[in-house]
Amino acid sequence: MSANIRPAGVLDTDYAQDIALNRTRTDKLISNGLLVLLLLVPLFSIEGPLGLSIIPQSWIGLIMRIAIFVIAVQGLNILIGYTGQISLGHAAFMAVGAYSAAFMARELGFSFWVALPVAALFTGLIGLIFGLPSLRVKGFYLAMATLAAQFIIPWLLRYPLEPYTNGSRPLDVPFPTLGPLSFASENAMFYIVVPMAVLLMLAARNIMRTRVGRAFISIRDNDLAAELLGINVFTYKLQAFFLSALYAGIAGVLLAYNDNSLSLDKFTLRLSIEFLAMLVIGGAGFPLGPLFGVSFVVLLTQDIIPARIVPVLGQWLPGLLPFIDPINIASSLSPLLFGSILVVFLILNPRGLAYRWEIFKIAWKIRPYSH
Amino acid sequence: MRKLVLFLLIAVLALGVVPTLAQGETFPDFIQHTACEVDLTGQTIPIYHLGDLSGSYAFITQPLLAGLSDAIAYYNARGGVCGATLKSDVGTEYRDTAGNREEAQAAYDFFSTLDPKPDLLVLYASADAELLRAQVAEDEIPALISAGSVPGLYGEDAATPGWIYASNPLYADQLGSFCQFVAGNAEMYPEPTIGYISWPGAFGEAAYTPETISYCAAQGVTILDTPEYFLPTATDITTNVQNLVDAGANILYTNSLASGPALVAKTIIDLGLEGEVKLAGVNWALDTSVGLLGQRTLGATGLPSTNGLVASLPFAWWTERQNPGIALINEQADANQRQPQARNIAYLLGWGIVDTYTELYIQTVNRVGSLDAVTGAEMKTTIEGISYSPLGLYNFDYQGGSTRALPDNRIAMMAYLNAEGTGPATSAADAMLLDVGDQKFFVPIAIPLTDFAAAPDLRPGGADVPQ
Repeated sequence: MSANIRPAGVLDTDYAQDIALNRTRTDKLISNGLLVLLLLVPLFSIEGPLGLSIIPQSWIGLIMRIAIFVIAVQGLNILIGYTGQISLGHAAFMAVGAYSAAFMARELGFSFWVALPVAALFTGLIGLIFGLPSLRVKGFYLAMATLAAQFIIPWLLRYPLEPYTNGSRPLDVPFPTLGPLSFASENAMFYIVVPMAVLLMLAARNIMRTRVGRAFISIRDNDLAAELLGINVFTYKLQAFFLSALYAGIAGVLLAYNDNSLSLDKFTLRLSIEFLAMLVIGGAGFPLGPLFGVSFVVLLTQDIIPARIVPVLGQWLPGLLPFIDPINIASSLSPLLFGSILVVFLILNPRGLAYRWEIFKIAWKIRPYSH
Repeated sequence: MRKLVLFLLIAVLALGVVPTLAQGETFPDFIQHTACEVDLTGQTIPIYHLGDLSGSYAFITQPLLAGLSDAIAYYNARGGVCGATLKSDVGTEYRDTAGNREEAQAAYDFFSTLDPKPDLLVLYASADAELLRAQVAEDEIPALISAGSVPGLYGEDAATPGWIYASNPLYADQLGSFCQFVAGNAEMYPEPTIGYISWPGAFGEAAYTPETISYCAAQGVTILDTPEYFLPTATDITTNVQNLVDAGANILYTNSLASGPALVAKTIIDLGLEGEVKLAGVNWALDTSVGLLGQRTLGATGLPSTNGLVASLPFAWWTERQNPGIALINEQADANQRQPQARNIAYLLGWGIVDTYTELYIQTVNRVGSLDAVTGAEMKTTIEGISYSPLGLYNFDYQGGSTRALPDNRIAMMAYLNAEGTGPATSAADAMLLDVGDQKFFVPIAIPLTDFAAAPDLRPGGADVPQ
């Protein structure tokens, strides 16, 4: 949306400018500056080389979880936001990536750098298989068809593939290494996970500006019209499923290596639904939607509610609700608060945070005429 | 006149309060902590814990908070730990993970990156133990858990003791104990064939291992090789139960808790299998929550469906009031007006944890000289060297660090109290019914069927695994 709006007097004079991700020098400075700042974060933590305690160490883990989920939700964004398809099996695709990389590392001795792309491609192929029903069905019916992935894949991993996956028991995953470098510490893994997330965000944005991306969008907007225009709808739908699963596979691999341990408990239907919620909250169909959605949900559920709101409520809520056992009020507030915030948020902001961000950017660019 | 009234009022209040304070100053004689060599007055000892307080484990875990809270208040009123105050507040010292692995990871990241790092952590779930096993070792934070799985305590190779210590026997060992009991009670269990029915996941599947199957087979007890799993949210498991019965099961063993064993018990009655199929389970199956949930379906005698359930009982129980620790906990639960639902395993364990913390900190501080010098590694040394019985609930002894789960176990049966309060009821007609608000409850009790004995060691390569 904002791509077509720039400050007065800023004009494109060539094609390179027209397709540039950053239209102005200020945009470029801000985005590059933010990236540099992000990459400097581990240096200011207690476990960084300088031993500074400016950034709490827990933020490193939080940022990495956000980055991993951003990759997964960006995959879902390609499928839902851009192509108009749906998947309720995204967490299962993550499991495919995670377990196939772990298998390659443990049984075949592959390094992380080989296991990552191979596992991602393999997950893409599995996603393609579960995308086949998209030729015949759409909407809720496609949701049901993809839900099958969320049952079939964990079942396969739990039972028939148990000798390789350890079934329901955890599976140790080695640390990534690069020559003499070991990525054993959290801060070191940061430099794999975060740049990967940034790269994949940019790649997703670029895909949308290619012929393939435009075909995805045309299918989302009207698949019949797209077909009449000569777009092979089935092929492109499958490509969207492939890409979506590939992103999920990469996220799964990173999760496995980041935790150094794998367990099927991590890839539940609940996670698939949470991914959908993250995308809706962030804004489906916006490149920054996954970043906003994941950050919002993860920060809310893993930091703001448990560490900031609940302790405060825990102080005065028992006095306010004396008829409830005070011990149990505060401890179980998290799901209630999260649900309530979600409902209020969706009522007030149904198109997502990224949409709100676009409006803000436009208003800023055309100031003082934004009223 | 007004002054006189005021004086009298103050005098009456003083008379009421002073004895209370005086009584609250010392621990009863049976609580014998190591003598304090360092005064910790003015300092605080946080009890950090994380786990599922609002998901499928909530039935069990919510009373843990009540137990911890009551015990902390009781201990702090008696000087805490050498003068230091015990503390466990929501958000800062404990977090609800709702059973979600990512939230458990986030909570652990929060606690493990605190400055100073926790010296000790309490976990609730086997899955959390499996998730965090490598991390607590790397961060050198010992963790206590009530019971655990082999991978959670001993790693993927089942031979590497980690930094997590369980106060109950391993789930696999508990099933082994049960098989031992079955083998010794042929009149109760003729031609025993166990059908394993449980929740999927680290906890639910923890007891179904090749080692338990072969150990039980060696005892003459068959475990069917077709386990059945159902989700904690399931409401109908008729097919699962029927499959096991069709395959020849006459005992159903469940490694689930709260609604899990209650649902299996209900299904047995719904299918008309009462008398043909017996129900057994892990230690959590004897919990009060199961005893209360089992009342939704009544058996032929009019007693709840869970009447007669047999399970492990590796600690002292509420009804064993001759145990001074149990008597104290009963007294404090009464004083704090705890509802029947709160008087469960977790409430007992909450008290056990606080007493354990107290002794561990006293011993560690005595050794290292100050609270600031206590680290996770020092705490680990204490845990592995200690031999202590917190409130007489269980024996805390990790045998010099050679083991990660306390081995003592016994088998008990769930029953319901008779009207006189002297023993188990034989039918609804002679059962005690407790009025709580507008509800009536049968009163679940646990009747020990065996004495405490070491459960078989059924880790892969364990001493009792048949060769």
